[in-house]
Amino acid sequence: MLVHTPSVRRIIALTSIASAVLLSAGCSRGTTTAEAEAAESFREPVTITNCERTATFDAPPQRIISMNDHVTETLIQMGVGDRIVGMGYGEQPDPLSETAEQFRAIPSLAKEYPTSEQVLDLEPDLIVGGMRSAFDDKNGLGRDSLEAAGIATFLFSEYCGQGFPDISLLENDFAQLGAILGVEESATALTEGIVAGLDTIRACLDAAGAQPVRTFFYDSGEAEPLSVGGVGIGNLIGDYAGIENITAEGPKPYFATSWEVVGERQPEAIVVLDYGSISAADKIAFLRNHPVMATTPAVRNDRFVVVPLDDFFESSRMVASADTIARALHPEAFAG
Amino acid sequence: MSTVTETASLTQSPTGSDSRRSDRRRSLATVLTLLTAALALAVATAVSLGTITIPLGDVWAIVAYRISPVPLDAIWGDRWWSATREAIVFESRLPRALTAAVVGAALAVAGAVAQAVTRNPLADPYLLGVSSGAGFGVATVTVLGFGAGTLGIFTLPFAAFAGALLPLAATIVVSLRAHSVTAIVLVGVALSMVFSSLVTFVLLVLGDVHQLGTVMQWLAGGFGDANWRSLIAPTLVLIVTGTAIMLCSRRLNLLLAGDDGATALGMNVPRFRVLILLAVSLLAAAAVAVSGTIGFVGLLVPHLAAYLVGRNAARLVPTAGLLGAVALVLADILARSLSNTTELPIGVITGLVGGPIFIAMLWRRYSQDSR
Repeated sequence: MLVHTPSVRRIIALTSIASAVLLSAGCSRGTTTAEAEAAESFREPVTITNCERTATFDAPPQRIISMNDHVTETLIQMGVGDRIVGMGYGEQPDPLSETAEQFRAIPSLAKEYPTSEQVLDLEPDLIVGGMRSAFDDKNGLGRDSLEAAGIATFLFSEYCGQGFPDISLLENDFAQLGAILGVEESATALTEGIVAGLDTIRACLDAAGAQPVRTFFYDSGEAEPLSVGGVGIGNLIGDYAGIENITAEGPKPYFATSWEVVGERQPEAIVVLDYGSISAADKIAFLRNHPVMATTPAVRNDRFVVVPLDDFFESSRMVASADTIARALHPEAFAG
Repeated sequence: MSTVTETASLTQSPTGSDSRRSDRRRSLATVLTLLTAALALAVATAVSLGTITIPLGDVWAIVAYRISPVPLDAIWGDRWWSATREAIVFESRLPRALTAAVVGAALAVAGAVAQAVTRNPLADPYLLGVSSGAGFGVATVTVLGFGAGTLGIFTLPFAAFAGALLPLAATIVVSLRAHSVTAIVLVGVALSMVFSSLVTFVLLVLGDVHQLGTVMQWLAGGFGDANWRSLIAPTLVLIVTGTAIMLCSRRLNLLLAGDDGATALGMNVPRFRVLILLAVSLLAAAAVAVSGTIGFVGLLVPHLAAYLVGRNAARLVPTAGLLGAVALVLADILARSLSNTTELPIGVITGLVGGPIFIAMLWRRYSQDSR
């Protein structure tokens, strides 16, 4: 009798979580179709290749764990928020407004990533990560071990290791997610919305004849600056926002360079990534007081743009950061 | 200390007979002159090289314009370089090279004295837990979220220095009861482990991924954020502590002969030892506060210096100091110039270059011994 108690308790717990999710799902839009589609198996198995790993799905996953907040938002936007049984980075205070209601209803497993026990206990059939660190071997959450346990995995390709060269990477990821989740239409609509948003910004800049502004991306670092290289999302957002990344030779999305190099290239503007314990105001104060940076046109003309790092991920949020940067550095293009 | 000790140490100097002594004096002068020249050359090289290429003529014209008491603009004409390049040379490279020299000297002196006073060839400046205490200070301040706003650019150095004093304070408390050097050093080892664990705890349990990066980069050590103002404190500590140590060099030599002998000559050995270990840790804390934990220099350089001039403290300490300064300036040059877009952590250089030199030196020494 005693032996059975824990599992009985767990079943009750799981049932209540499930009903809570169902209840909340009932109030949100677009879920009825998703559920109807999801209930049955695919007519033919769906095979995808994600980060050079091939996986085949016979039916759309029904118990998803989302490891990062931008993944959770994306899945909600695709209309499968009701299938998320738990999320990492669940304390995002400011989820995208159209996802906020459902976001807050999803059980938050941890401030950052859940433990492997938490994950296994939820008996998920798919785990979606938005950063490489989501699938950390040391946490027992490596993709090999999860897949060996019968849990499918999907990593947003921004972190597959080849960077984020152009928007087709997002288009491909979201199309694959739409296919395996059985929500192709809403996935396509989401992608089209993102691409249209980015193209609109670019069109406004082109129409105004805006010239690229030579810009330094400042992530962090005092001894040496951590900046944005030529292969990451920052560089791509910069392309849409009418700026020229002065450290585009960087071989990684984020990489350490030197103050000498940055100063010598005389940036005209600085994009400050805002996150963590050092506030953007403190970062700007540091740059103003830095002897080399103080001599650059960007600091002398006080051209700083603050962008939340949350908007620097493969999701609809990248439209927001491109928009922020473009409007700050090319106000003339958006005046009309 | 009593005057008896002073006279005793004057007459009982371990340097031996008068003739040998003057020979060694001369060779010490030669060694120190050569090392000073090497240091000047190394600093000049460090100012000339960097991740961007500035013509040598420009570099030295910038330095000349800035340090000349007479305004050179009137004599040589207007400055023909950009304000950025001037800042790179005079506000970044020069204070950086000088900071590397001061930190190298402080670590090497601290290491030499630590090895002498504990009679342990493996002792280094961090033996009382200074580096992990400093790491704890930096990690705590970073995770608690005091950015550059609170104390400006001195936030992390101040946190490091304050953190370094924590294990030191604990050691002093212990040393009030336990007079054995072994006990004190073991307490230092234990405290190092405690503070290392606390660093890990603070970072992994309380902090987030980005803070981890900040602290890891700090722990790896380096001079990228050196400037004129951050150079002041370690320079003062080096001058004051270094002078004090030189004044104690005779007593340090007595200790080399053994505790019993020193006690017989009237020295309060336990008290002296604790005071000296405090001086060592103060030097290390001042160095760590500006540069992070730079390993190997404090361990290796004293051995190289002893190889050159012997173990007599009056000879060893200045030699080790200059040699440490040269070594760290050179290591920093390598760290800055091996890659042309970024800088390597200096700890990588001191370990990769210092390790083989150390082994080669041991090889020569022990293969001679076995013959």
